[in-house]
Amino acid sequence: MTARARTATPRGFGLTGAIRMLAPRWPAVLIATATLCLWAGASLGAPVAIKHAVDDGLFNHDRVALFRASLAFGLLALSAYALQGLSTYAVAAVGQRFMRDLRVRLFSHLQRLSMSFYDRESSGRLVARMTADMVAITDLLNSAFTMLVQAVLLLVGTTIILFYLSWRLSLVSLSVVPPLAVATIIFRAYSGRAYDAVRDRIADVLVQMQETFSGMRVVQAYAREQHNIDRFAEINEANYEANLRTTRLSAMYIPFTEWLGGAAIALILYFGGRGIFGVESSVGTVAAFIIYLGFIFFPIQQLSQVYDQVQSGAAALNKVFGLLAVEPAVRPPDAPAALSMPVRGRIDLAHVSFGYYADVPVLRDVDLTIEPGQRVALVGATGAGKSTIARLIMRFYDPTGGHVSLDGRNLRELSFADLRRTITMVPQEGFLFSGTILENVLFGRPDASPEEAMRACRELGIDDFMQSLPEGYETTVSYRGSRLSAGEKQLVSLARAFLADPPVLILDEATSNVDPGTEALLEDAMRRLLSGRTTIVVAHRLSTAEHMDRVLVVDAGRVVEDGSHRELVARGGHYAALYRQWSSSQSHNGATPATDGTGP
Amino acid sequence: MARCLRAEWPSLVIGLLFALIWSGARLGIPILTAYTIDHLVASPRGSKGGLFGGVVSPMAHAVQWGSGHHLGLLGALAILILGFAGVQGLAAAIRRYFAMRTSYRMEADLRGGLYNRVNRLSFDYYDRTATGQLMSRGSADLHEIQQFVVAIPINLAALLMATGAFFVMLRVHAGLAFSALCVYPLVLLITVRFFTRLFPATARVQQGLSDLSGVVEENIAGARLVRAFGREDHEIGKLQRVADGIFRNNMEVTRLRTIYTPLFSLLPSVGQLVIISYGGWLVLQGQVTIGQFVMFMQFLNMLIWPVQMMGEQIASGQRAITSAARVWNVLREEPTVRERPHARSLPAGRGEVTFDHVQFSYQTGRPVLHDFSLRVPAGMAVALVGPTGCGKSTVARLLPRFYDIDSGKISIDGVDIRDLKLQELRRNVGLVFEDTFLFSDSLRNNIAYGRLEAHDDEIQRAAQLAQAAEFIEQAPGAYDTVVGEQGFSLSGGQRQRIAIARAVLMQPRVLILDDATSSVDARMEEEIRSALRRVMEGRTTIIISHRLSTISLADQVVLMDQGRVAAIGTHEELLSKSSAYGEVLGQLELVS
Repeated sequence: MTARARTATPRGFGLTGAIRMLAPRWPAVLIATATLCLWAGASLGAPVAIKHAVDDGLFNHDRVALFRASLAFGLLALSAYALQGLSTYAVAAVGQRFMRDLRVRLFSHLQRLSMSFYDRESSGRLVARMTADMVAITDLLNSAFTMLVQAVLLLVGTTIILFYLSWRLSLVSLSVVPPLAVATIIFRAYSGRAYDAVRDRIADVLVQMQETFSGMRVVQAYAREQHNIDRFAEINEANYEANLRTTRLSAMYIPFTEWLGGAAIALILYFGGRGIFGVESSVGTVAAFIIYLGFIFFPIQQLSQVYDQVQSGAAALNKVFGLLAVEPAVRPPDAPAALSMPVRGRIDLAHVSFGYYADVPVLRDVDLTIEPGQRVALVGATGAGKSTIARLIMRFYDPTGGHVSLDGRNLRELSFADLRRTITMVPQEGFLFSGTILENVLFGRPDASPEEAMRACRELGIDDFMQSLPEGYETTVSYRGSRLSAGEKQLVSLARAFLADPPVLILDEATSNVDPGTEALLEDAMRRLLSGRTTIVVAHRLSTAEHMDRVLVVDAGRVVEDGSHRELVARGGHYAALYRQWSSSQSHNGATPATDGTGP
Repeated sequence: MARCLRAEWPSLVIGLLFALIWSGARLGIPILTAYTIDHLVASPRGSKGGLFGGVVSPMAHAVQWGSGHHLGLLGALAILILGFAGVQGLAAAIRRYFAMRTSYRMEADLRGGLYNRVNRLSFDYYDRTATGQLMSRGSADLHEIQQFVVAIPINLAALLMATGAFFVMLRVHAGLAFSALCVYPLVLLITVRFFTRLFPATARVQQGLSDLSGVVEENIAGARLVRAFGREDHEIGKLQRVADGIFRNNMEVTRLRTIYTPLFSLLPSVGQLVIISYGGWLVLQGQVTIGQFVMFMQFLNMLIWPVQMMGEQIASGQRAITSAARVWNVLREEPTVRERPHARSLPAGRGEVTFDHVQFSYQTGRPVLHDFSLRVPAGMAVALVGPTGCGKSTVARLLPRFYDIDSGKISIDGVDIRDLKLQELRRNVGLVFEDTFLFSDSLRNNIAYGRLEAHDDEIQRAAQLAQAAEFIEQAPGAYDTVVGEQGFSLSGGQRQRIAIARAVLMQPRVLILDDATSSVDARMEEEIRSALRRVMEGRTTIIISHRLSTISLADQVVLMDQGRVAAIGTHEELLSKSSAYGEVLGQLELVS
């Protein structure tokens, strides 16, 4: 299933998934729901106690009845207090634990997905799944659930009690509910749109600020300040206007609800008062009705808020569970074949075809064998397919035709653990994870000790460099901003691969220029890393290809030339032409030409 | 802020006036209710007298008289309540509207002021301030202030109402008033304490969420490596730790809620219990009427929410003050580079640049340029070469007056740049930086960044000159393609050529290329170099580069060392006469 297909998931899809995940926690869910219901019940009882205090105690001048009613009120208040605390905790405990589990589950799932998934999915969206969507789901599980149960129970309970007290007066006082509900729904509809507009406008404001503040030097270099200030004034004003619109809307809604509240009191007093000497009504009833009014107004307004939360929460659930339903394109075998030890490191591509998209072939019928211990350079223009060959050997993707094998075993038959112990790569950009340098080296082989990691660096000849960093091996770095230069990052990356010590190594050569201090170090370390293992270098510089045992020239998805550097130069083909061009430019300005521009 | 409040005083007055009306109407309803109930019960103290009878009964009679005596007293009272409710609702809406408007106005004005100020500040300020910091001044801090300001009039109105209610209750029965209301100071105290403790906990949750985004972003960016080394479990472990942290902090928030929120319901209930038992006893004693008893209950309910609001405002006060101080710190910052009062225009000329005994330091005591003198004749291209930290990039930043020099003089076509109009100076010095900043706007607008009024064919010519036209035309929307949208991304070399086109379009007298080719590979550099060669023709150019091939574009090479000119000449001359030049080049050779 691709990322696109997710939009087709049915509406209740996410909810079913959530219920299935919550099912094993049923006792906690039960406790949460029960305490919530009991709390609503205790809150509902209090006005009844007041009614009895007024009617039986005050009206009939009965001290005992007044005492009884006070006692009942006190007990109800205390139990409401305890139950509110219990339910607050119980509901949150269920919701938060669910959230934690869902986060871990979703992230673990992301780890199983294949590179083809990441080619299509943007990082921003995945982060949103893990953060904003999760917050929406928490709101759904905690506040929306609490409010929904409470509001429904209060509304239903109040209605029952009111009818029990006096059905005539109930009909009279509940007559304000329909206009209130209609007004609330209309208000919600308009204010929903108004708040959407506010969100858009504030986003405009933030984007403009972000862009200007981060590009401030360019802004001033091009004397754009006044233009920016004028433009920002417009955006800022639009945001103010959008905010004001929401205020205007509530300025229309609020007086109406407040007036309805007053109207209800007037109705109760008027009709209650007329019937007060009759059979049904009493002063206590009138007082109880006035208090119960709050129990009707509040939940109705709450319900409309719940509606929004349920909608966005359900949408988030659908998105998250949709993501969980995406199957990895590259899967480990159910019964992995054993790899004969020690691994020799022979790689075969047998009639391999592949394309990232179904209708755009990238590799066409590639057939080649790389002998154990051979050092091979892949050379060719951008888009020729050299990086793709490397990725297929890593099994980041499965070929659409033919197969790739290691020591005669199809990669599809090997367990991921075996595969990754055997074949590893050094990416072009020298990626660093947040943490210390040492942790970054240990990433290559987590069971290695710090001493082993440092020994590896010594053997690679970069120990002095590591020690020269501000805090040596303990220097902290992050994947975004780091104090290390491109070349230095590359060094750490090489150390990582050296510690992993894989029989087969794939190296995506750096295209960017490296600072003078590290260039020599890097070349030296690379030489040591490459010796004694099968190595496939995606080469961007001809000087690298020159030093390899074998050069494969890739063009339009095929291997067009194959041989040693010497042989290919002598053959006078594509490679020889490239080389001639390079050596002539080499002699006049000392620059090293790349075989292509941007790399993969 | 005070200035802003002065401008908004009419809405403040209106807000306050309606706050008064609102609290009056709001207090009126329970009083009317009490009167009505007492009228119905006809208790010993009677409907004619009773509480505020002197005010209520004439009003009721007026309504009855107005209806031509068709209404009974009960009906008249009901109509009065309806009227009071209407007034209350309207006053609430108007009061709220003006409170919100004032606060939004203030937020917008402060944000505009902040933005303008930041635009006017000089480079030294950007050097020491991170974008993220400025962003949080302009969003989170302003929001904090707005929330605080909007609550002030609302709380004032609530305070008015509470005071009124208190006096009404006092008039009825002082003992009952005090004993029923004695829990409210406690509610206030607890609210303040709750929000004071809640804030750090929710801030920790927010921090946890941003850590989580960091882990996910990093994991996605390094997805290939994670798979290459089979380190999925390790990554899951990392996430688990962060997710557990969020869980723990959320549970801490839950614990606070569990302790405090039930108290917010319990304490008013205690007050109600006092009314039921003590108040009930007073009714039986005949000291309080049943109507007044119900009124006390209503007042008590009315006060719960305002007291909590007040507590919240007190708790947020400290944060709002901190935020205001932070915003104020930006607003009072003064630009260090300012246009002189009678600044003049650039005279006609072809861009002769002179540095005359220039002394400059970013921080006092650490001079970067010492007595730097250099004359670049009009139309000439000069390359500045030297080891890292010798001050070559500083020279580039001084010419457009990003910083002012400590002593000496810099002039263009014979005029001291400090005497020139700042905008004109900067428009005449074209800069191409090492890290090309493109705005998320169309390619056209990115090129026209310095000259919005530029014609389409001018833009196309600039793009052609910078050798950017070809790839722009191949982009999905040609010149209208938006940078960074729908997967449209530019390579380093392409971005650089857009930046060159941007500089060229301004037709600057002087062009500065500050490490413009350092971040691209050799082949790309070749393309940029041929673009540069055409752009530089007949234009005074200052080149700063690590690359020999770029340096070779210059007519003259200036070797710099420790903020001074060490040697000048053509590349060949310097090679033969300066050993230092050979050394510097030796280092460069490795680079290129």
